[in-house]
Amino acid sequence: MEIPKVNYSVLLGFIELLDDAGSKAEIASFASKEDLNLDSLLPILESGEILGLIKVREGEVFMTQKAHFFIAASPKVRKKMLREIIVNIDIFKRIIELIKQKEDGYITKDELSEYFANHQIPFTVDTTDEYSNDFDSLIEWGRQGLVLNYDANDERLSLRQTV
Amino acid sequence: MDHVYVSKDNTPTSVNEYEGAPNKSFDGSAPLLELRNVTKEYIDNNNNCNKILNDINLIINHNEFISIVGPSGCGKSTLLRIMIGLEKYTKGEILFKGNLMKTDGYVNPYMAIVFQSFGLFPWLTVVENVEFGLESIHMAKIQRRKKSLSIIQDVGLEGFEDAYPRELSGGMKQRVGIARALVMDPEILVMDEPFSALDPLTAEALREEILKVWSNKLATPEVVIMVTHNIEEAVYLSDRVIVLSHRPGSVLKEVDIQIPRSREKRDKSIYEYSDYITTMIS
Repeated sequence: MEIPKVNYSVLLGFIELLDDAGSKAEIASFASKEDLNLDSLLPILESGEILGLIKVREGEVFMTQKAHFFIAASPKVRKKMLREIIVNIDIFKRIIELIKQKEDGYITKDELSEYFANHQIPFTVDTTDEYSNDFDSLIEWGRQGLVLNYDANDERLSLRQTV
Repeated sequence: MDHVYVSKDNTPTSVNEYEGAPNKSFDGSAPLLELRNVTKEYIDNNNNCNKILNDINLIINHNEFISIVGPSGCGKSTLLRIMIGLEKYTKGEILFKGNLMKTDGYVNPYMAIVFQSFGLFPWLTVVENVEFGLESIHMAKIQRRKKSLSIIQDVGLEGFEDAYPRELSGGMKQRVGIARALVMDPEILVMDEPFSALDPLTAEALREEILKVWSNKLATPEVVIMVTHNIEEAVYLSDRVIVLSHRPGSVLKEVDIQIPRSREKRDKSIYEYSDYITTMIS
């Protein structure tokens, strides 16, 4: 199941550079010019596509219209845009429904992990690399889009507001 | 010689006029910040006198973005800390809006700093880190929280209010550092290598956000003073680049960056200015 795997600031920086380059670039030469190796570049491209901010086609990467609006927007409007994007990504839709079904209004990290295991959906929760596991990415983007709250002390996810 | 000192609560606390410099307090006609012959020395363990900064003279005007660059170890971060009052200097004077600043560990309340290493309290959440500085001034708790949340929104941290620093990426940590400085309503925001601990893409994103904060007046600082070792970054962001010499650091040159805003990072002029400054330093 698709989750943007790079953090917000990295993706935003990539889009800013792409914008400077004229909104599109040939991937190999752009990566070489900006000193990005394949390991770091691929998750950026994938994350950007999941969020609908970039498109990759025939060795080229493009900014979408949404990305143009996004980088020009105020922080408040950016959050609104992100929220609209995030609530329509499949994994977030599932989690939102899951939390809505809970009487107490939250789901624990363990329960979420169990849910994915029961549905045979690969979902990693424990790695030491920053944002390399699915859970951390989920929390990062859930917070970015003002969709999820996460209490790290009690390991509970809840909805930020009515979604 | 009598001195005029400033406090954030009101106008100068002691209004004895400083000899030779008329008291132009808060009328806007004096430079925002002025350094006169500022020198910093220290005595090492072998009793040798080491000079770090030598006769620094600088005038910081209103509405400027200024960068300080120079060779490694030339004292640029020391200069920044002296400006804000975090470090003492040996000789010279610093005036804020025409008023002489105290030298005995007095931090200028009109200035706030962003550190390279973020400097967050790990046991506090984002919003608690941001409002921490406000606890030192008289403000009701509810107002502190309101103000902190507003700044958090301005720097794109909304959604992370209750997160702890350990849960944040480097970029989000530095946003907290920036928010914590901005919440104090500084007239001068000083930043010590604010992007150098970040990966290049995150640094790119944050440079743009700082420019937005400063140029769109989303928050208060009318002047930003940044220390950086990245010459292109300095040229891209600044109205003026102050180039320091090898240690003991002195002002080699002040370079006005006459490239209209908004700027393109790939503008030929950026490279030309950068080459010019790099050649000067090396």
